[in-house]
Amino acid sequence: MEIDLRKAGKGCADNPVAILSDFIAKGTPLCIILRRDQEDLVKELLDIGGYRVVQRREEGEYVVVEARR
Amino acid sequence: MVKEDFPALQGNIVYLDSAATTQKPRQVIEAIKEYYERYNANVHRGIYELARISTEIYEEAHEKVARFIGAKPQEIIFVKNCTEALNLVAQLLSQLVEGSNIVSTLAEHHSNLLPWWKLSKERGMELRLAEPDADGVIPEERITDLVDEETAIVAFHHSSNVSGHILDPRKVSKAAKKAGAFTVLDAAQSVPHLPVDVRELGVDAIAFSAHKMLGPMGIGVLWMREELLSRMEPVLLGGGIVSSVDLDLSPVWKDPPQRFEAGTPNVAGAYGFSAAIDYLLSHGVEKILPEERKLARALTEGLKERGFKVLGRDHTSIVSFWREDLDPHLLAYKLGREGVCVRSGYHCAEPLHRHLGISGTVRASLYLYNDGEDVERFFEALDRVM
Ligand SMILES: Cc1ncc(COP(=O)(O)O)c(C=O)c1O
Repeated sequence: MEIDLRKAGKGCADNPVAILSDFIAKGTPLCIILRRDQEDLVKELLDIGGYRVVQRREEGEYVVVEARR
Repeated sequence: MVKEDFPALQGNIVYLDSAATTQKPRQVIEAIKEYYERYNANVHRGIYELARISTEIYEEAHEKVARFIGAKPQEIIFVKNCTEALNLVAQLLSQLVEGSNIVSTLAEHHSNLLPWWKLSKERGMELRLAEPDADGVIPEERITDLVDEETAIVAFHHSSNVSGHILDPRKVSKAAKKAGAFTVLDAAQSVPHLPVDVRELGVDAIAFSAHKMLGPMGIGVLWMREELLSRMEPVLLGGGIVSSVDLDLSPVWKDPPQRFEAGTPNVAGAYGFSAAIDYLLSHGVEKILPEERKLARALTEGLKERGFKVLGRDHTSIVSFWREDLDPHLLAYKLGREGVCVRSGYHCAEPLHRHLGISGTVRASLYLYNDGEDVERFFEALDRVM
Protein backbone atom coordinates (compact mmCIF):
# COMPACT_ATOMS: atom_id res chain seq x y z
CA MET A 1 0.00 0.00 0.00
CA GLU A 2 1.43 3.39 -1.00
CA ILE A 3 0.77 6.15 1.52
CA ASP A 4 1.69 9.77 0.97
CA LEU A 5 2.17 11.54 4.29
CA ARG A 6 3.64 14.73 2.89
CA LYS A 7 0.41 16.67 3.42
CA ALA A 8 -0.51 15.03 6.73
CA GLY A 9 -1.51 17.52 9.43
CA LYS A 10 -1.74 17.54 13.20
CA GLY A 11 -5.49 17.21 13.67
CA CYS A 12 -7.30 14.25 15.16
CA ALA A 13 -7.63 12.30 11.91
CA ASP A 14 -5.13 13.72 9.42
CA ASN A 15 -1.93 13.14 11.40
CA PRO A 16 0.62 10.48 10.39
CA VAL A 17 -0.14 8.28 13.41
CA ALA A 18 -3.87 8.15 12.72
CA ILE A 19 -3.30 7.53 9.01
CA LEU A 20 -0.73 4.78 9.46
CA SER A 21 -2.17 3.03 12.50
CA ASP A 22 -5.13 1.69 10.49
CA PHE A 23 -2.78 -0.04 8.05
CA ILE A 24 -0.44 -1.18 10.79
CA ALA A 25 -3.38 -2.81 12.61
CA LYS A 26 -4.05 -4.85 9.44
CA GLY A 27 -0.38 -5.69 8.84
CA THR A 28 -0.44 -4.29 5.29
CA PRO A 29 3.01 -3.95 3.60
CA LEU A 30 3.66 -0.22 3.28
CA CYS A 31 5.43 2.17 0.95
CA ILE A 32 5.41 5.55 2.68
CA ILE A 33 6.33 8.88 1.12
CA LEU A 34 7.17 11.37 3.82
CA ARG A 35 8.88 14.58 4.77
CA ARG A 36 12.20 14.37 6.57
CA ASP A 37 10.76 15.92 9.71
CA GLN A 38 8.26 13.04 9.90
CA GLU A 39 10.84 10.29 9.66
CA ASP A 40 11.62 9.69 13.35
CA LEU A 41 7.96 9.59 14.27
CA VAL A 42 7.10 7.19 11.45
CA LYS A 43 10.01 4.90 12.23
CA GLU A 44 9.02 4.71 15.90
CA LEU A 45 5.45 3.94 14.93
CA LEU A 46 6.52 1.22 12.50
CA ASP A 47 8.75 -0.25 15.15
CA ILE A 48 5.94 -0.39 17.72
CA GLY A 49 3.73 -2.02 15.09
CA GLY A 50 6.27 -4.79 14.55
CA TYR A 51 7.35 -3.56 11.11
CA ARG A 52 10.88 -3.45 9.78
CA VAL A 53 12.12 -1.05 7.13
CA VAL A 54 13.17 -3.04 4.05
CA GLN A 55 14.15 -0.06 1.93
CA ARG A 56 14.76 3.65 2.41
CA ARG A 57 15.52 6.05 -0.40
CA GLU A 58 15.68 9.80 -0.72
CA GLU A 59 13.77 11.52 -3.50
CA GLY A 60 14.70 15.19 -3.53
CA GLU A 61 13.46 16.70 -0.32
CA TYR A 62 11.32 13.66 0.49
CA VAL A 63 12.00 10.17 1.78
CA VAL A 64 10.41 6.92 0.64
CA VAL A 65 10.28 4.13 3.19
CA GLU A 66 9.18 0.58 2.43
CA ALA A 67 8.29 -1.50 5.44
CA ARG A 68 6.64 -4.82 6.19
CA ARG A 69 5.97 -7.13 9.10
CA MET B 1 -20.29 0.03 41.62
CA VAL B 2 -21.28 2.11 38.60
CA LYS B 3 -18.81 0.44 36.23
CA GLU B 4 -20.69 -2.84 36.41
CA ASP B 5 -23.62 -1.23 34.59
CA PHE B 6 -21.46 -0.60 31.52
CA PRO B 7 -20.85 -3.65 29.30
CA ALA B 8 -18.16 -1.90 27.25
CA LEU B 9 -16.11 -1.26 30.40
CA GLN B 10 -15.96 -4.90 31.45
CA GLY B 11 -12.88 -5.70 29.36
CA ASN B 12 -9.36 -4.67 30.17
CA ILE B 13 -9.79 -1.03 29.17
CA VAL B 14 -9.38 2.32 30.83
CA TYR B 15 -11.85 4.60 29.09
CA LEU B 16 -10.78 8.24 29.30
CA ASP B 17 -12.48 9.64 26.22
CA SER B 18 -15.92 10.55 27.53
CA ALA B 19 -15.68 14.11 26.22
CA ALA B 20 -15.83 12.52 22.75
CA THR B 21 -18.60 10.12 23.67
CA THR B 22 -19.62 8.27 26.81
CA GLN B 23 -20.12 4.55 27.24
CA LYS B 24 -23.70 3.36 27.64
CA PRO B 25 -25.19 1.63 30.66
CA ARG B 26 -27.11 -1.60 30.20
CA GLN B 27 -30.35 0.30 30.94
CA VAL B 28 -29.90 2.49 27.85
CA ILE B 29 -28.93 -0.41 25.60
CA GLU B 30 -31.95 -2.39 26.83
CA ALA B 31 -34.29 0.54 26.25
CA ILE B 32 -33.28 0.84 22.61
CA LYS B 33 -33.74 -2.89 22.12
CA GLU B 34 -37.08 -2.76 23.92
CA TYR B 35 -38.28 0.06 21.70
CA TYR B 36 -37.63 -1.85 18.49
CA GLU B 37 -38.97 -5.12 19.90
CA ARG B 38 -42.15 -3.72 21.42
CA TYR B 39 -43.04 -0.18 20.41
CA ASN B 40 -41.71 0.56 16.95
CA ALA B 41 -44.10 2.66 14.85
CA ASN B 42 -43.90 6.10 13.29
CA VAL B 43 -44.95 9.01 15.48
CA HIS B 44 -47.63 11.69 15.13
CA ARG B 45 -49.26 9.77 12.27
CA GLY B 46 -50.90 6.39 12.82
CA ILE B 47 -54.05 6.04 14.89
CA TYR B 48 -53.42 2.45 15.93
CA GLU B 49 -52.25 1.52 19.43
CA LEU B 50 -48.59 0.98 18.58
CA ALA B 51 -48.36 4.40 16.92
CA ARG B 52 -49.99 5.96 19.94
CA ILE B 53 -47.48 4.35 22.30
CA SER B 54 -44.55 5.35 20.13
CA THR B 55 -45.80 8.95 19.98
CA GLU B 56 -46.22 8.94 23.74
CA ILE B 57 -42.66 7.68 24.20
CA TYR B 58 -41.34 10.42 21.94
CA GLU B 59 -43.29 13.15 23.69
CA GLU B 60 -42.35 11.87 27.11
CA ALA B 61 -38.71 12.14 26.10
CA HIS B 62 -39.25 15.85 25.37
CA GLU B 63 -40.84 16.23 28.78
CA LYS B 64 -38.03 14.37 30.52
CA VAL B 65 -35.30 16.43 28.85
CA ALA B 66 -37.25 19.61 29.60
CA ARG B 67 -37.49 18.74 33.31
CA PHE B 68 -33.80 17.84 33.35
CA ILE B 69 -32.79 21.37 32.29
CA GLY B 70 -35.65 23.38 33.76
CA ALA B 71 -37.35 24.04 30.42
CA LYS B 72 -40.81 23.56 28.88
CA PRO B 73 -41.35 20.48 26.66
CA GLN B 74 -42.36 22.64 23.69
CA GLU B 75 -38.94 24.31 23.86
CA ILE B 76 -37.05 21.04 23.34
CA ILE B 77 -36.20 20.37 19.71
CA PHE B 78 -34.68 17.00 19.02
CA VAL B 79 -31.96 17.04 16.38
CA LYS B 80 -29.15 14.68 15.42
CA ASN B 81 -26.47 16.09 17.73
CA CYS B 82 -25.08 19.26 19.27
CA THR B 83 -23.52 20.26 15.96
CA GLU B 84 -26.87 20.15 14.20
CA ALA B 85 -28.45 22.09 17.06
CA LEU B 86 -25.84 24.86 16.74
CA ASN B 87 -26.24 25.02 12.97
CA LEU B 88 -30.01 25.11 13.36
CA VAL B 89 -29.94 27.91 15.91
CA ALA B 90 -27.66 29.95 13.63
CA GLN B 91 -30.12 29.49 10.77
CA LEU B 92 -33.10 30.28 12.96
CA LEU B 93 -31.54 33.39 14.46
CA SER B 94 -30.64 34.63 10.99
CA GLN B 95 -34.39 35.28 10.64
CA LEU B 96 -34.37 37.71 13.53
CA VAL B 97 -30.92 39.24 13.89
CA GLU B 98 -30.11 42.86 13.46
CA GLY B 99 -26.70 44.32 14.15
CA SER B 100 -23.28 44.34 12.63
CA ASN B 101 -21.29 41.87 14.71
CA ILE B 102 -21.36 38.41 16.27
CA VAL B 103 -19.24 37.66 19.34
CA SER B 104 -17.75 34.25 20.08
CA THR B 105 -14.43 32.91 21.36
CA LEU B 106 -11.27 31.35 20.00
CA ALA B 107 -11.76 28.43 22.38
CA GLU B 108 -14.97 27.15 20.82
CA HIS B 109 -15.42 23.72 19.37
CA HIS B 110 -15.59 24.06 15.57
CA SER B 111 -19.30 23.29 15.85
CA ASN B 112 -19.86 26.53 17.74
CA LEU B 113 -17.58 28.55 15.53
CA LEU B 114 -18.15 27.66 11.89
CA PRO B 115 -21.94 28.26 11.87
CA TRP B 116 -21.30 31.79 13.19
CA TRP B 117 -18.48 32.31 10.71
CA LYS B 118 -20.91 31.34 7.92
CA LEU B 119 -23.69 33.56 9.20
CA SER B 120 -21.34 36.53 9.60
CA LYS B 121 -20.04 36.04 6.03
CA GLU B 122 -23.55 35.77 4.60
CA ARG B 123 -24.76 38.88 6.38
CA GLY B 124 -21.59 40.95 6.04
CA MET B 125 -21.17 41.02 9.82
CA GLU B 126 -17.95 41.16 11.80
CA LEU B 127 -17.09 38.01 13.80
CA ARG B 128 -15.34 39.05 17.01
CA LEU B 129 -13.47 36.28 18.81
CA ALA B 130 -12.44 36.56 22.44
CA GLU B 131 -8.90 35.37 23.05
CA PRO B 132 -7.91 32.88 25.76
CA ASP B 133 -5.46 33.76 28.50
CA ALA B 134 -2.14 31.96 28.95
CA ASP B 135 -3.88 28.96 30.57
CA GLY B 136 -6.09 28.53 27.51
CA VAL B 137 -9.11 29.76 29.43
CA ILE B 138 -11.57 32.47 28.37
CA PRO B 139 -12.43 34.78 31.28
CA GLU B 140 -16.02 36.04 30.92
CA GLU B 141 -14.84 39.69 30.67
CA ARG B 142 -12.96 38.91 27.49
CA ILE B 143 -16.31 38.05 25.90
CA THR B 144 -18.31 40.88 27.40
CA ASP B 145 -15.59 43.41 26.45
CA LEU B 146 -16.36 42.63 22.79
CA VAL B 147 -20.11 43.16 23.14
CA ASP B 148 -21.57 46.51 22.10
CA GLU B 149 -24.86 47.98 20.87
CA GLU B 150 -24.21 46.49 17.43
CA THR B 151 -23.81 42.90 18.68
CA ALA B 152 -26.47 40.60 17.29
CA ILE B 153 -25.45 37.26 18.83
CA VAL B 154 -23.07 36.08 21.55
CA ALA B 155 -22.20 32.39 21.15
CA PHE B 156 -19.95 30.75 23.72
CA HIS B 157 -19.24 27.53 25.59
CA HIS B 158 -20.36 26.60 29.07
CA SER B 159 -17.56 24.11 29.68
CA SER B 160 -14.54 23.90 27.38
CA ASN B 161 -13.93 20.58 25.64
CA VAL B 162 -10.17 21.26 25.78
CA SER B 163 -9.43 22.85 29.16
CA GLY B 164 -12.55 21.73 31.02
CA HIS B 165 -12.91 25.30 32.30
CA ILE B 166 -16.47 26.24 33.24
CA LEU B 167 -17.67 29.73 32.41
CA ASP B 168 -20.40 31.57 34.26
CA PRO B 169 -23.01 32.10 31.52
CA ARG B 170 -24.92 34.59 33.66
CA LYS B 171 -22.10 37.12 33.47
CA VAL B 172 -22.16 36.94 29.68
CA SER B 173 -25.92 36.76 29.20
CA LYS B 174 -26.43 39.82 31.41
CA ALA B 175 -24.09 41.95 29.28
CA ALA B 176 -25.54 40.55 26.05
CA LYS B 177 -29.09 41.24 27.11
CA LYS B 178 -28.18 44.82 27.99
CA ALA B 179 -26.85 45.24 24.46
CA GLY B 180 -29.96 43.59 22.97
CA ALA B 181 -28.05 40.55 21.65
CA PHE B 182 -29.17 36.92 21.55
CA THR B 183 -27.10 34.44 23.52
CA VAL B 184 -26.35 30.86 22.46
CA LEU B 185 -24.61 28.46 24.83
CA ASP B 186 -22.75 25.36 23.72
CA ALA B 187 -23.60 23.07 26.61
CA ALA B 188 -22.20 19.85 25.11
CA GLN B 189 -19.71 19.48 27.97
CA SER B 190 -21.79 20.93 30.79
CA VAL B 191 -25.26 19.36 30.74
CA PRO B 192 -23.73 15.87 31.11
CA HIS B 193 -21.67 16.85 34.15
CA LEU B 194 -23.51 19.40 36.29
CA PRO B 195 -27.06 20.46 37.08
CA VAL B 196 -28.15 22.99 34.46
CA ASP B 197 -31.25 25.16 34.74
CA VAL B 198 -31.75 27.13 31.55
CA ARG B 199 -33.80 29.85 33.23
CA GLU B 200 -31.01 30.58 35.68
CA LEU B 201 -28.42 30.86 32.92
CA GLY B 202 -30.26 33.73 31.27
CA VAL B 203 -29.32 32.62 27.75
CA ASP B 204 -31.67 32.29 24.77
CA ALA B 205 -30.60 28.89 23.44
CA ILE B 206 -28.48 25.94 24.45
CA ALA B 207 -27.28 22.89 22.53
CA PHE B 208 -26.08 19.45 23.64
CA SER B 209 -25.85 15.80 22.57
CA ALA B 210 -27.32 12.69 24.21
CA HIS B 211 -24.28 10.57 23.42
CA LYS B 212 -22.07 12.60 25.77
CA MET B 213 -24.43 11.85 28.68
CA LEU B 214 -24.84 8.06 28.49
CA GLY B 215 -27.49 8.27 25.77
CA PRO B 216 -27.34 6.94 22.23
CA MET B 217 -25.66 8.60 19.26
CA GLY B 218 -27.93 10.30 16.72
CA ILE B 219 -30.00 12.44 19.06
CA GLY B 220 -29.27 15.88 20.43
CA VAL B 221 -31.12 18.89 21.74
CA LEU B 222 -31.67 22.48 20.85
CA TRP B 223 -33.41 24.32 23.65
CA MET B 224 -34.66 27.76 22.80
CA ARG B 225 -36.98 30.17 24.56
CA GLU B 226 -40.58 29.58 23.51
CA GLU B 227 -41.17 33.25 22.74
CA LEU B 228 -38.36 33.11 20.16
CA LEU B 229 -39.30 29.75 18.68
CA SER B 230 -42.88 30.82 18.15
CA ARG B 231 -41.71 33.73 16.00
CA MET B 232 -39.58 31.64 13.70
CA GLU B 233 -40.12 29.76 10.45
CA PRO B 234 -38.86 26.19 10.09
CA VAL B 235 -35.55 25.66 8.33
CA LEU B 236 -36.06 22.04 7.29
CA LEU B 237 -39.33 21.52 5.43
CA GLY B 238 -41.39 18.37 4.93
CA GLY B 239 -43.65 16.02 6.83
CA GLY B 240 -44.50 16.39 10.48
CA ILE B 241 -44.11 20.17 10.69
CA VAL B 242 -47.33 21.38 9.08
CA SER B 243 -50.91 21.40 10.28
CA SER B 244 -52.20 21.98 6.74
CA VAL B 245 -50.96 22.34 3.17
CA ASP B 246 -53.47 23.92 0.78
CA LEU B 247 -53.87 23.32 -2.97
CA ASP B 248 -51.71 26.36 -3.53
CA LEU B 249 -49.46 24.83 -0.84
CA SER B 250 -49.15 27.83 1.54
CA PRO B 251 -48.38 25.61 4.54
CA VAL B 252 -49.52 26.34 8.06
CA TRP B 253 -46.80 25.42 10.52
CA LYS B 254 -47.40 23.38 13.63
CA ASP B 255 -46.38 24.82 16.97
CA PRO B 256 -42.88 24.17 18.33
CA PRO B 257 -41.24 21.77 18.79
CA GLN B 258 -42.88 19.87 15.90
CA ARG B 259 -42.42 22.87 13.59
CA PHE B 260 -38.68 22.26 13.78
CA GLU B 261 -38.58 18.47 13.71
CA ALA B 262 -39.25 17.64 10.06
CA GLY B 263 -39.42 14.01 8.94
CA THR B 264 -39.32 10.78 10.93
CA PRO B 265 -37.46 11.40 14.16
CA ASN B 266 -35.12 9.16 16.11
CA VAL B 267 -37.73 7.72 18.47
CA ALA B 268 -35.60 4.80 19.65
CA GLY B 269 -32.86 7.34 20.36
CA ALA B 270 -35.30 9.47 22.33
CA TYR B 271 -36.32 6.42 24.37
CA GLY B 272 -32.68 5.56 25.02
CA PHE B 273 -32.05 9.20 25.93
CA SER B 274 -34.89 9.03 28.48
CA ALA B 275 -33.27 5.95 30.01
CA ALA B 276 -29.96 7.81 30.18
CA ILE B 277 -31.58 10.70 32.02
CA ASP B 278 -33.22 8.28 34.46
CA TYR B 279 -29.80 6.77 35.08
CA LEU B 280 -28.19 10.17 35.69
CA LEU B 281 -30.98 11.22 38.03
CA SER B 282 -30.73 8.04 40.07
CA HIS B 283 -26.95 8.47 40.28
CA GLY B 284 -27.36 12.13 41.27
CA VAL B 285 -26.32 14.75 38.70
CA GLU B 286 -24.94 16.99 41.45
CA LYS B 287 -22.49 14.24 42.43
CA ILE B 288 -20.89 13.86 39.01
CA LEU B 289 -18.61 16.91 38.81
CA PRO B 290 -17.23 16.73 42.38
CA GLU B 291 -16.29 13.07 41.78
CA GLU B 292 -14.64 13.97 38.48
CA ARG B 293 -12.75 16.91 39.99
CA LYS B 294 -11.01 14.61 42.46
CA LEU B 295 -9.82 12.31 39.70
CA ALA B 296 -8.89 15.25 37.46
CA ARG B 297 -6.78 16.72 40.24
CA ALA B 298 -4.93 13.41 40.64
CA LEU B 299 -4.38 13.24 36.88
CA THR B 300 -3.12 16.82 36.72
CA GLU B 301 -0.70 16.40 39.60
CA GLY B 302 0.72 13.14 38.25
CA LEU B 303 1.14 14.61 34.79
CA LYS B 304 2.93 17.71 36.10
CA GLU B 305 5.27 15.47 38.11
CA ARG B 306 6.17 13.78 34.82
CA GLY B 307 7.01 17.08 33.14
CA PHE B 308 3.76 17.59 31.23
CA LYS B 309 2.05 20.92 30.84
CA VAL B 310 -1.69 20.91 31.46
CA LEU B 311 -4.17 23.34 29.89
CA GLY B 312 -6.64 25.24 32.06
CA ARG B 313 -6.64 25.74 35.80
CA ASP B 314 -9.77 24.40 37.49
CA HIS B 315 -9.68 20.85 36.24
CA THR B 316 -13.14 19.44 35.96
CA SER B 317 -13.76 16.39 33.82
CA ILE B 318 -11.16 17.17 31.17
CA VAL B 319 -7.37 17.17 31.39
CA SER B 320 -5.48 18.13 28.22
CA PHE B 321 -1.71 17.80 28.43
CA TRP B 322 1.41 17.96 26.34
CA ARG B 323 5.17 17.87 26.40
CA GLU B 324 7.22 19.55 23.70
CA ASP B 325 9.37 16.45 23.19
CA LEU B 326 6.47 14.03 22.70
CA ASP B 327 4.15 13.72 19.73
CA PRO B 328 0.61 13.71 21.18
CA HIS B 329 -0.69 11.24 18.61
CA LEU B 330 2.14 8.80 19.11
CA LEU B 331 1.65 9.00 22.86
CA ALA B 332 -2.11 8.39 22.49
CA TYR B 333 -1.38 5.48 20.16
CA LYS B 334 1.01 3.93 22.65
CA LEU B 335 -1.50 4.39 25.47
CA GLY B 336 -4.17 2.85 23.27
CA ARG B 337 -2.05 -0.26 22.88
CA GLU B 338 -2.01 -0.47 26.67
CA GLY B 339 -5.81 -0.35 26.76
CA VAL B 340 -5.98 3.33 27.73
CA CYS B 341 -8.40 5.26 25.53
CA VAL B 342 -7.48 8.94 25.24
CA ARG B 343 -7.78 11.48 22.45
CA SER B 344 -5.02 13.44 20.74
CA GLY B 345 -4.83 16.46 18.47
CA TYR B 346 -6.82 19.66 18.43
CA HIS B 347 -10.11 18.20 19.72
CA CYS B 348 -12.02 20.17 17.07
CA ALA B 349 -10.69 23.40 18.57
CA GLU B 350 -7.82 24.16 16.23
CA PRO B 351 -7.91 27.97 16.57
CA LEU B 352 -7.36 27.62 20.33
CA HIS B 353 -4.29 25.40 19.88
CA ARG B 354 -2.91 27.63 17.13
CA HIS B 355 -3.41 30.73 19.26
CA LEU B 356 -1.53 29.09 22.14
CA GLY B 357 1.17 27.81 19.76
CA ILE B 358 0.60 24.17 20.74
CA SER B 359 0.65 21.58 18.01
CA GLY B 360 -1.84 19.29 19.71
CA THR B 361 -2.54 17.88 23.14
CA VAL B 362 -3.52 14.54 24.61
CA ARG B 363 -6.88 14.70 26.33
CA ALA B 364 -8.03 12.46 29.16
CA SER B 365 -11.68 13.00 29.94
CA LEU B 366 -13.75 11.55 32.74
CA TYR B 367 -17.27 10.53 33.54
CA LEU B 368 -19.23 9.01 36.38
CA TYR B 369 -17.93 5.49 35.74
CA ASN B 370 -14.25 6.40 36.16
CA ASP B 371 -12.54 5.73 39.46
CA GLY B 372 -9.18 5.92 41.21
CA GLU B 373 -8.14 2.60 39.70
CA ASP B 374 -8.48 4.12 36.20
CA VAL B 375 -6.15 6.94 37.21
CA GLU B 376 -3.63 4.46 38.62
CA ARG B 377 -3.77 2.30 35.51
CA PHE B 378 -3.40 5.39 33.33
CA PHE B 379 -0.16 6.32 35.06
CA GLU B 380 1.14 2.75 35.02
CA ALA B 381 0.56 2.68 31.26
CA LEU B 382 2.04 6.15 30.81
CA ASP B 383 5.18 5.19 32.70
CA ARG B 384 5.56 2.05 30.60
CA VAL B 385 5.31 3.84 27.25
CA MET B 386 7.38 6.93 28.02
C1 LIG C 1 -17.94 21.70 23.38
C2 LIG C 1 -18.48 20.88 22.26
N1 LIG C 1 -19.34 21.41 21.40
C3 LIG C 1 -19.87 20.72 20.40
C4 LIG C 1 -19.53 19.41 20.18
C5 LIG C 1 -20.13 18.67 19.05
O1 LIG C 1 -20.89 17.58 19.51
P1 LIG C 1 -21.44 16.50 18.49
O2 LIG C 1 -20.26 15.90 17.81
O3 LIG C 1 -22.17 15.53 19.34
O4 LIG C 1 -22.31 17.21 17.53
C6 LIG C 1 -18.61 18.80 21.04
C7 LIG C 1 -18.17 17.42 20.80
O5 LIG C 1 -17.08 17.01 21.11
C8 LIG C 1 -18.08 19.55 22.11
O6 LIG C 1 -17.21 19.01 22.97
